[in-house]
Amino acid sequence: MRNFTKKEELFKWLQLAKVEQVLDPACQYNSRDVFQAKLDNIYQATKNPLMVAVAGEIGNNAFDHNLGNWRDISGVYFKHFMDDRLIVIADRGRGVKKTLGNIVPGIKSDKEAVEIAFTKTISGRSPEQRGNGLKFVAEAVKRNNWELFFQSGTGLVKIENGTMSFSESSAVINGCLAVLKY
Amino acid sequence: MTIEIKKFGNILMSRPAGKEAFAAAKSYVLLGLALTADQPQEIVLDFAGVDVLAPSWADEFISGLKDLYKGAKISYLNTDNESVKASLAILSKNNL
Repeated sequence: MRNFTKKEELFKWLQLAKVEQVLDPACQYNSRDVFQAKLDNIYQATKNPLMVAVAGEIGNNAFDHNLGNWRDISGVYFKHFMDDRLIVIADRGRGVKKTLGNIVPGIKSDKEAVEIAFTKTISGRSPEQRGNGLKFVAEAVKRNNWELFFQSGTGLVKIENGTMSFSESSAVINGCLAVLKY
Repeated sequence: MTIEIKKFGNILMSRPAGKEAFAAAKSYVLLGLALTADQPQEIVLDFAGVDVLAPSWADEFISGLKDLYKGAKISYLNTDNESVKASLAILSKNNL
């Protein structure tokens, strides 16, 4: 994962079983509306429609799947490092395995869960027709030679040099963490 | 009939926003069609002036149209914007 300011603090915050405070109030977006407003600003600053759409899909996923069900802190942590062309998005939600477990019984690991999320058109919010978001993210990252680090639980997704790989991490993330280099 | 998508906003993301846009379209933009009970043969979605489109928004809006006007052909205009192109491509890949 690429380096960015407060990387270690964010990682530790996501690893804690329970937290009572947001990591950085300036980076915490508690509702979809304020998150959308932030993305509007980022679009105005960068004029990069695809990056904004990718960030929007990842961040809105957190709201779609965790509303009323956050682990402790609601909303998303979101930070854009303009000069480094880096975006960090994190949430302390249920994570991919629990979310998909509603519709795909018997998922054995976080790795299997993130692999399904990034490769199959399936969503935890069945019967709604969903499940395109992370496939869209993967396609955009691969086609533009961007980089993505995504972790939920111990399930890890990396997209580098146009190739996507899945693995297990030794560290556990409570919720999801995405780092996009565009 | 042609629907100018920019009239729903320039930055179109999230499912709730797409659902809301379709509800508004159904009540107002498509009202004329409903009153005359015409089933359009073709619906053209014009993306001119849209800055950002995400597949979640597009999925909600286009699925709504397809359910309402079963059998109508839906085609797209002014899709040069990268996010519009990529969003429509992923939806079309998944048969929407």
